[in-house]
Amino acid sequence: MNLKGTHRMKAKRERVWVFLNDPEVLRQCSPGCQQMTPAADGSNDSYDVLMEVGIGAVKGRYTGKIQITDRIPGTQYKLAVTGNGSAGFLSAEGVIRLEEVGEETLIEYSGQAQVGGLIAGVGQRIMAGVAKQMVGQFFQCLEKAVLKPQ
Amino acid sequence: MPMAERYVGCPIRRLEDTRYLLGCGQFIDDLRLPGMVCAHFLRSPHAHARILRIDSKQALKAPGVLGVWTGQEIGSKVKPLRPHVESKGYRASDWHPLAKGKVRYVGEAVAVVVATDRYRAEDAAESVSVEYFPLIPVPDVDTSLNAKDNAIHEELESNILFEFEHAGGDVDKAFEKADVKISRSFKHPRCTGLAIENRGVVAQYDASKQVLTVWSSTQAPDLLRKTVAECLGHPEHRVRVIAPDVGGGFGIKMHVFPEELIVSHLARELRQPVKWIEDRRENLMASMHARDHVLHAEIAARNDGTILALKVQDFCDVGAYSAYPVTAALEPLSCASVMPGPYKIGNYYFRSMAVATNKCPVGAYRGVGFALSPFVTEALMDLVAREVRIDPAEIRRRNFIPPEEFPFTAASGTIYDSGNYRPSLEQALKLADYEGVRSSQQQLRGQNRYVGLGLSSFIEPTGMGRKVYRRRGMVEVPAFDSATIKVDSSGTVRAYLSTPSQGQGQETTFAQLLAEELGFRMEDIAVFLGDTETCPAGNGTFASRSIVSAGSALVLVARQIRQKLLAAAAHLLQVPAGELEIQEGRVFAKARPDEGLSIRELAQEFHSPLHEFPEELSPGLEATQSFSLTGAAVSSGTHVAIVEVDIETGIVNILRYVAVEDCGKIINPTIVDGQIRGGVAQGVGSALYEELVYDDQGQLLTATLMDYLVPGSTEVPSVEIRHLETLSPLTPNGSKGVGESGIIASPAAINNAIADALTPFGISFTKLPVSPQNILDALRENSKVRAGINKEGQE
Repeated sequence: MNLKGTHRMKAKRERVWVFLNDPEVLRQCSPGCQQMTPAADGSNDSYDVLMEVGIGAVKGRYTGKIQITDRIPGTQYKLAVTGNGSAGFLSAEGVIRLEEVGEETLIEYSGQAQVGGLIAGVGQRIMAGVAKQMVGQFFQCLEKAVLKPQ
Repeated sequence: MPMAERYVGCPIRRLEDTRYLLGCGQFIDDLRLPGMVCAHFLRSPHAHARILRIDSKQALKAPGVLGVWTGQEIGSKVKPLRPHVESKGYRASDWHPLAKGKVRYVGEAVAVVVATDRYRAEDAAESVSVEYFPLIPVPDVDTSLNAKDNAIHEELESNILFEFEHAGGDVDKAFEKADVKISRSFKHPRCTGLAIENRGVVAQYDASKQVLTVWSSTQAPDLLRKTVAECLGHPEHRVRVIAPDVGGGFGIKMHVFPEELIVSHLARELRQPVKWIEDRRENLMASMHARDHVLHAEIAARNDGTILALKVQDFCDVGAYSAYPVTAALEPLSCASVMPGPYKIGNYYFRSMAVATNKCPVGAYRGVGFALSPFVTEALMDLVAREVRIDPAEIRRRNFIPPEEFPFTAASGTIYDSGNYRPSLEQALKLADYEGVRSSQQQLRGQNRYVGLGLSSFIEPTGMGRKVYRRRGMVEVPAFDSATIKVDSSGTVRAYLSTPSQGQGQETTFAQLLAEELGFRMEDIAVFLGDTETCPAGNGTFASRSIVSAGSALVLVARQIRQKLLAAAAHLLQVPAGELEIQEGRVFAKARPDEGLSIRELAQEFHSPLHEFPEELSPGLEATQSFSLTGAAVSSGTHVAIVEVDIETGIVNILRYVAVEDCGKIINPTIVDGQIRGGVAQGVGSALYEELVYDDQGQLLTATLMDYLVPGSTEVPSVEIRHLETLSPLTPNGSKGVGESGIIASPAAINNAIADALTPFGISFTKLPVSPQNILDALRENSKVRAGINKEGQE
């Protein structure tokens, strides 16, 4: 399943970039993220996560990883999320790119997501909608954090 | 005096219905054994992956958990299933009951958790962590055939699990001579049997006698016993298999499944009864799938409608493993054996490949292979008829195997024991008011209503014997059945047969048959099925064989006991045996029906030392007979579907459904009709609704009954049934099987009716199910083409 879209924010690119790289913000804003700790294997920019995600009738707990790679400071990075749980597995990978539009920032994202097991058998039909909604929630939360007066 | 037919042929009410209707049936899940614990299987979410690590530490600490087992631990104790077919085109592979090293389809069992109840087992399973290394999935036949470096079974040199070729006559020459040649590619979806009762197994080990008892919702207790003994290394005489009440089998439950082996093993290891009941999601993704063919077919005919040759190239997507005992060869071989159907086609070529993919294995399901024949051949017959401008009914008449040519050896190699095909067609046409429908069809089209009529003439080889299985190379199927009868001192009789009931009323049918043959009253007869400890050996209930194979054994053993009873009565009454008759539990001289003995009195004499019988009459009234047909008893018939297609919504409404069937001697017409109606219901599913869909990653998308659509009572038409009785020369009473005809014939009848309804648009379908979406797409495509033609015309 392909994920692609944009989100526009009334903030400078540098500021958005800082928030996008703040593990605490990522933790708070990733829908269903219960725990996010630096990876036990010690690799950089990598976090062990515990997520609780509901796709249609299938609510599941997933343990997995969030990893940031291919970072071009201030401009873009690649984000990979994997999770395994009793309801199956999910994995997503995508590039998040920032573009300055005057005083605002345009965030472009594009990537792919895949689910397997029970969530595929029961939830595939509504996956696209759920994924879109989750991405939307993430950026709204990020925007709120970015725009919050210091 | 002709023998009165008091029982055979009578619509006697089913004896077993009392217990079903009162909720007293004993299904697997009704079993309660002291100390019984529950198993839950952890299944792979990946279609194709290596198992790197399984960590069950957390789960072992969970409340009520007795243990967690993986393929590593079980592998040394339970041998894999390795079904075998005697054929050089077959590649044997192992199916480990718990995946070892690698998973090959979504839903494959990876670990099993046993706990004091199912809730605890399922909760604990959530904390078992399995680390996979995903491999590139092989989601379909094309990918599989081209996947040079992506083997599903590394030990095999190819993903083709079975291939074979059959040629009868001279197909190329026949095609050269033909006036008309038509070719089409057909696709039958993957579907499944969907019994109301899912699979289930309970096992208990008696350490004092070292007897392992396995209760399973199975169609083939003897096969299961043999396999449990082999795979667990337990002596076969200390394994007992019981199939209690079973809520539908449909072929799916004839296989031996990994879960049956694991649960049996755990009961022996834990010294505690273990139970596992399949849930519906497991049933849809990991029991057994069926069909999934793409067939490229070519037919050659003369202008007078004579079919000269049929050529078929078949690709069957058989999933990850060969099912036990039928293997990946079952679908192709069954399909090849009947493709020409009831027609005399002298030149026939069939080539097939059964190809492994990362999907649930494909095995037997009602009408296995056979259902493909009318779907392909009957569609081609209609296309030829249209091409040579002959009425579809007439082209069938011209090509039926003539009645005087039976027994008939077809170019497929299949021997048709008996048959008379034209009368069933004529009767079906009459009942459906063929001419009337044809004339009203035109008129209705004027009102923008699209009504069509579809014909489907078919054959159904039933009760296949040892010779047929040997020819197919399916050497692990015993291919015989047996019956034991025991008359006790009170003159009541117990019968034991090797074919357990799946809910199709066998206790009644067998009792009727026995009452008829012995001359006993039905209330003096009890039928016991599905226990390897008490029932004689045999094949089990599948391939429409219960009446044909076990029923024939019952007739033979009844005749043996009847002879003995007559000889004893002759001695006691001082009347020659030939002048005696047994009816309604009494034996008497035909000339003096009011005198004589009751069977009770006679039986008492047999069980008492008081009376001295002649030496040739041994004491006791018990006997066993086994029976294997020398070939197959081939049933036949013609179905007619009349449908209306709503071209606005694409919805198909079945207006009338007619089935004229010929299954030889009928024992219980109500039960036979039930078989036909049930088969038609499942055929309606194949034609219009059912499809198991996988995505390109090998993920099953139809894992619930929300997505896997089956017909409900409102979608199943009322079936108007008539019977003909062409007796089989292969069975002692002329009977043939009838378990599969409904699903064999109906998809073709409905599909042909849809094509007939859409004649004005020139649309016909070669891919099932014909969903509203497919119809609308085809109509849209058609209107685009027409618009294009019109435009061209204008230019």
